[in-house]
Amino acid sequence: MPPKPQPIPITDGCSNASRKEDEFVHQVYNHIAPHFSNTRYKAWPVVENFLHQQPSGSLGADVGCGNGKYMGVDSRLALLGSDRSSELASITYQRGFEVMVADNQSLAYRSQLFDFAISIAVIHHFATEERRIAALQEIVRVVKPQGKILIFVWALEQRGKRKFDQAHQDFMVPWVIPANTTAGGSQPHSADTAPPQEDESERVFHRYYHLFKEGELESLVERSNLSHCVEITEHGYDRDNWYIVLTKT
Amino acid sequence: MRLLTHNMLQCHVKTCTDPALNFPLQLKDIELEQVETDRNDDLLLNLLQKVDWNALKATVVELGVVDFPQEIPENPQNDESFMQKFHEILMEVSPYDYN
Repeated sequence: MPPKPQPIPITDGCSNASRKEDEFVHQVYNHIAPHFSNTRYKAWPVVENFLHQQPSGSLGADVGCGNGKYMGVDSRLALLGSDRSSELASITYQRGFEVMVADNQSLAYRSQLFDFAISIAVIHHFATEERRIAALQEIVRVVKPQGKILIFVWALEQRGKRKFDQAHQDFMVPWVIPANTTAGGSQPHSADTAPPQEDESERVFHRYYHLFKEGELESLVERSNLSHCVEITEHGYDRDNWYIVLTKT
Repeated sequence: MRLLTHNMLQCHVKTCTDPALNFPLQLKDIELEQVETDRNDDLLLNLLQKVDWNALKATVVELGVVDFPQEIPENPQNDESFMQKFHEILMEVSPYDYN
């Protein structure tokens, strides 16, 4: 086995933010969607508990729903999903869930509609703080007063398989589709991905991430001018992620 | 897309703020599909607070459904026929673009 490719810090995290997200988030997820989806089936307990705590009959938004793995977790609830990756949205749709392609920064929902919202591993894909703030504000917009919002983002301090240079926060994180993977997705068609490694059929894609430091999610809420309309009612660390629960006031 | 989603949508273009124009989405060149779904009365009663009833009624007419209630009854939870129709329209009817 070749060594696992490690995350590469980048120093121009903020430049060409929208192009970076398009090339290193949207397009990459479209390429890796089937393989990514096959690895995403286990619900994280914090998310599962959050869903089970919502009153029966609640309507939720899953913003950045990926393959829709949380959408069927609790049959007492109805979730509407959205994802920026059309391929992931299409997988979610094929599983029978309600989903649309949408950028988190401009959701196509009426305001103050949802009883709750979840944003699981999404906001770390925005390449500037301004865009992360826009994403957060937009989620808050569509949730009704007293509604709860759960947000998970990758932690810089994580001690798992991947090693992140603690001096940086913006990284290209490799996604490897091993050789002979049947559900490997479409072939990359441009120079937006690393060339194939020794084994011709192994493919490596790089996803852009902004890794969050402890307390950064809380300060993002503050800097979003949301302090007058949301309260942080829970926060913690779970499975390499920082998370917060916001309650809209 | 079920009519539930359709009723929750508004145009996401930032300059499109006229409430007469940014909602509801016009349905053109569509076919209807009925997707069987378990009925959840807690959900239906909750959604009655959220649904834009006039938009839903207009959409139902656009789709050619004839026997849809004009008004929300006073005690919808006790009105089995209303609940069933509301469920079918909101949670089961799925317009899709045949193009």
